[in-house]
Amino acid sequence: MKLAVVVQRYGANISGGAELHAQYITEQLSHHADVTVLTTCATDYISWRNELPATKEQVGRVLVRRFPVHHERNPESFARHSTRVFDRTHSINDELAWLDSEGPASRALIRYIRTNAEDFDFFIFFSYRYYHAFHGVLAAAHRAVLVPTAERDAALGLNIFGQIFRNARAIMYNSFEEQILINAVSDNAHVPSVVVGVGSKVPQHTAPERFRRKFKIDHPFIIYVGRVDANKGCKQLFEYFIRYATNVSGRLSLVLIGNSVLPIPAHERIHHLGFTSDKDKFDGMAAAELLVIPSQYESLSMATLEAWGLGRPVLANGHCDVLKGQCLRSNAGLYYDNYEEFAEALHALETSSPLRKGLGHNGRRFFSRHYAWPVINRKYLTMLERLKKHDVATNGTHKLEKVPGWWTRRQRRLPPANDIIKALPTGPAPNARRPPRNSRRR
Amino acid sequence: MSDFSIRAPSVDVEEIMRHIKTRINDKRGVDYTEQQIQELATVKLETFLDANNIRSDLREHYKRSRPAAKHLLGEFEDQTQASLSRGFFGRFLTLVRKILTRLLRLNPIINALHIQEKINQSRHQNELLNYELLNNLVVEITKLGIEVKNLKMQVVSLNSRLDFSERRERALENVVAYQPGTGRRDSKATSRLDDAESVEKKQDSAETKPEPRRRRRRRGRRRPTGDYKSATETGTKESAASTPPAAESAASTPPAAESAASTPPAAESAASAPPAAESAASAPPAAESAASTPPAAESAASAPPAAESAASAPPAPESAPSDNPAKEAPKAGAATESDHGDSDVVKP
Repeated sequence: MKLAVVVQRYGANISGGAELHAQYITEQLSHHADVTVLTTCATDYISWRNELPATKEQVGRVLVRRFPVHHERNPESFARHSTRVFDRTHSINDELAWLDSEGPASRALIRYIRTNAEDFDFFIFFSYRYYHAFHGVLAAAHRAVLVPTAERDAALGLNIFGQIFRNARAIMYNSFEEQILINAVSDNAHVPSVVVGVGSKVPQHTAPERFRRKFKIDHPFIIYVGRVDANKGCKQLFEYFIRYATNVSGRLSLVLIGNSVLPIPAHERIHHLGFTSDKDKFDGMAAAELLVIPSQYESLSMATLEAWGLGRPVLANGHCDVLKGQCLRSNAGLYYDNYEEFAEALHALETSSPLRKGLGHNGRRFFSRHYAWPVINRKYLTMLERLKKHDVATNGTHKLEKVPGWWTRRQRRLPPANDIIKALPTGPAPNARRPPRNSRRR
Repeated sequence: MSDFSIRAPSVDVEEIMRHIKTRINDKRGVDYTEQQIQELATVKLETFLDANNIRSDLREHYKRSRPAAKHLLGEFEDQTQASLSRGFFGRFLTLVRKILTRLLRLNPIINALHIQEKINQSRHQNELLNYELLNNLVVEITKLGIEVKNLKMQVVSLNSRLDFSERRERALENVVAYQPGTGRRDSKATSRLDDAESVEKKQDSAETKPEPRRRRRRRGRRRPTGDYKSATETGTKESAASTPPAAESAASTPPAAESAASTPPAAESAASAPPAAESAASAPPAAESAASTPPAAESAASAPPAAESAASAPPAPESAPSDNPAKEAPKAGAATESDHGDSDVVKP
């Protein structure tokens, strides 16, 4: 089988959830198929500046082809277009202009996909919201498998993305909540799909004591792993934790791992270690009492899965449907909606060792059952085989949705994307917790 | 904050979260959460106090109420004279004006009227500005008034929290200050003990008679407040005897005795604080806070040091040899509990 993974950025030093997700999936699928990565020359997700050469290189078993970005992102133009499509009544052309201004606008990449569509069995597109995914799926819809990595943000409410959600051959969701959102916004329940997610390289053995010695932390602590950013809920986390440390707990500390774009409060019990190696990260997680995830917007938190893989409980932001749903389904984490719940839940986790052990045990089981690499690989390969069989049965015909005409694209009738998002269902997936018996047997 | 009794296979997150939410609701009662208070505050200001709306209405009202004032002096412009009238009468006036201009100098009068008109206009605008300013002041004062009310509510809320924190602090001090085995004591308790020991020595030197001593059972909290001195003396007498006094002091202060029965640190504190009045004074806040405020009670009951020490070394106070009075306190307390109501006399 010959596969192409299409992603906005690719490389060893590139951080980013979707990019890392794509990298892991590529490496795993390369054991079962001939995989080529199609990506851009950009490494910065804000400017999309061409920083890598537009060449092809062999990285292990994977061939990586890079294509130049046609133009960098203009922040002012992007902001103006964002305001128009998110907050005002607009047209399809406005949305396309927004997509072009968001980037990474690589026409060479789209041209390559269109001309070489028949050379690959399937194209796996990551991150629905970028230029390459929208135009790429439309260029090779009959071979397009989409990994949306969608979260509840305004871009999901744009009308143009409904086309790719309905036209893709299959969709690999990260969570049940993401599936419900996309089904609701685009009415694409007929498209073959499966909730997969992604695994992680969780080590079998960790050395918590080594971590404690190295960073001189000898008291119990909770850990946050990821970019320290207000968008990730870190500001609220600091506020809550300082209150908790002042009023409730006299010994618990907060350890932060990851680059910071937010001033970290000078508090004796908040330790920022910056970006660390994977070994330090996993050892730190193993040494921690629990992992805290304050982000409201997550399509799938890899740190959460890693903590569960290491048998550590999680305290998550309850406003994030995905995290809340996963906590409920796994029985491996608590969640909070406000400070009172944060304090109570953290206190329960801090003081009750059996509770921590019970949640950690459930987390480990949940991780090995749903997010171990053999499970992920099997889901991908099963879906691709299914599509291939369908191709043989239907002689490779794939019915495409009609593209809006010249006049329709210019009519400003589409409601603001934010209004669409407000109308979408909220909360954790209700029926996803207990899958029906017959589906489990299958 | 009470502990969870969880066994690994039986963890149910939904149930735990329900339990947590119920506990928060129980604690808060009908009180608003901070989020709700903030929402109410902002909504009130934004919805009912839209300054723009109020200002524009009032300005219009003001304009309507003062039309006469505006036209009282009339408008005088460059063409006012020429457009006074038309037709024959106008031509007549023009003729008269031409004649008069030759006879009289009207320009200064016209200039004066122009200046007057400008003054009128600026005055009118100033009035509008003044009125707008006044209106803005009223709006701001109203907003400030509401904000003051909100702040008062917050102050009340903070006061209650402060009270709770103080009670909790006291409870934690009682639990943590006398951990068994660690030898940790706070300075206040040490000074208390030192004082008690010095008094003890004096009493020992004074009471060298070998008579059998009869001691009266102390009743810590029932003692009138004026008996502090005598209570101290009784306490020192009791502490002169090796173990029973500690037991008595533990038994005589019911809350401390309860805590002595449950957690070793509290037992130690009850046993090693000879002045009964002091122990009686220091123990009730913990008991009160334990009874009245759930968080303090929970934190006192489930505070990690107490819980862990209780879990790790519970047999120590019971099985320790009798040469350590502090460790023997629970046992003695238990013994005195049985004869609590029978007699006030304990044999030496």
